[in-house]
Amino acid sequence: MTEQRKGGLKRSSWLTFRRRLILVRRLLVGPATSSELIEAVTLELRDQGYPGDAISALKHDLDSLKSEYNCQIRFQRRANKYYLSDLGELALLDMPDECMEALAFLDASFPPGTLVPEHANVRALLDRILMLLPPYRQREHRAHRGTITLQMAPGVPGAVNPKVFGVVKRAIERRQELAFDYRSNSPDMALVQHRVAPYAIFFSPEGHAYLDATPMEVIPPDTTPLRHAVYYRLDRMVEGSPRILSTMLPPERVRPHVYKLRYTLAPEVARRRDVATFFPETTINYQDDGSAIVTANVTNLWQARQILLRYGDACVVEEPQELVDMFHDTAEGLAEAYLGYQKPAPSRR
Amino acid sequence: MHKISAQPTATLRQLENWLPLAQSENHTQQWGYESHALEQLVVQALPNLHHAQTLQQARFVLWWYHWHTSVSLNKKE
Repeated sequence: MTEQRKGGLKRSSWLTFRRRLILVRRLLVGPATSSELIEAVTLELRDQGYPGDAISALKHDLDSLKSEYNCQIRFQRRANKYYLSDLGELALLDMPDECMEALAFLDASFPPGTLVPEHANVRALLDRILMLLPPYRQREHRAHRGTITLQMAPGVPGAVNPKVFGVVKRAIERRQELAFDYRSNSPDMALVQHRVAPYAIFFSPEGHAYLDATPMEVIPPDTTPLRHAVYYRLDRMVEGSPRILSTMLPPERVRPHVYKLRYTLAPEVARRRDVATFFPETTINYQDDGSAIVTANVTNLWQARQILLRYGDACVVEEPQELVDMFHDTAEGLAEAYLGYQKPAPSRR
Repeated sequence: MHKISAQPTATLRQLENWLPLAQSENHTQQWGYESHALEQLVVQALPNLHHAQTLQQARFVLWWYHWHTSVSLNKKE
């Protein structure tokens, strides 16, 4: 064999190897038709990918992947697509034991069927990583019980409608206003229409999914503070009601109204001088009597109230007045519920 | 009950979303626009503001329109 022919063969087997790797990579992204697979190869190798009969060459490549590397690739007639269900010998990802432990931690913390992993696609990522592990590592992983887990509240499975979630997510991505009907807590107003500037979806430690938005219009008007940061529970948005409006939003939220927060923590929670900082720009001044005066900046009073309520009666808010008023309402409500206290009419706002 | 509509108040809605940024620039750069003039500036800038990918780009768009407006006013004077 001449040197030139040897070089040609080397090049040809290198191309074949690259082509097959490209096919596997494309199938790892998701099921694909023959044309999509050929397109993926052509995109990287141009006219060197499949110079002749592309369909026959593709079938040959897929057969080789199955026979030589034991890859499980199925063709589903109904969808006209190829599915990769097992990488066989091409399961190339192996990791040190510490990383396997981290994988077990994530797997145990984000079980299938719960709110956060489903909507944030954590499960899809974990399943892909597991698929890339060689069989012996997969077996080890299945046998290994995660000893450390993140304590995530499971939420209510399926409580957030996937269509609602999808529309809200698209509105944020497109930077457009969003309108939706919202189930109010108030007994006299069942449904309220909101038009908002949406900015982000987040999951609370309690397991609820929220939209962080700036309300621009509320019909009929209620106590929602317009042009302030408000968190909306996604499961309270009426199914089918969210719609994306044409109004384009600025690239980032123009900083919402900032409230100066000041509260005093009683000695029973501050004495050890290890008070948690929950808010931006927090400063803590420990007093001689064991109490602490905390100041911070907040944009969402509702959230501030929820956080500070954890302290029970060991926390007294002094600023801003709007939050003090909210605590008055809460205190009155608690007194009504537990002590039979009657609210004076008209109720204080 | 009045429904939130998609179309008739489109410009007004654009204004209420972009005006806070314009107000902040008007304040920090000391442009001195009164509310009506500032609204006009935003309305003129809207088609380009929509293409801004970052807040800084949006600021540049407003600055450019402010500069353009000041030049036009100076010429008239």
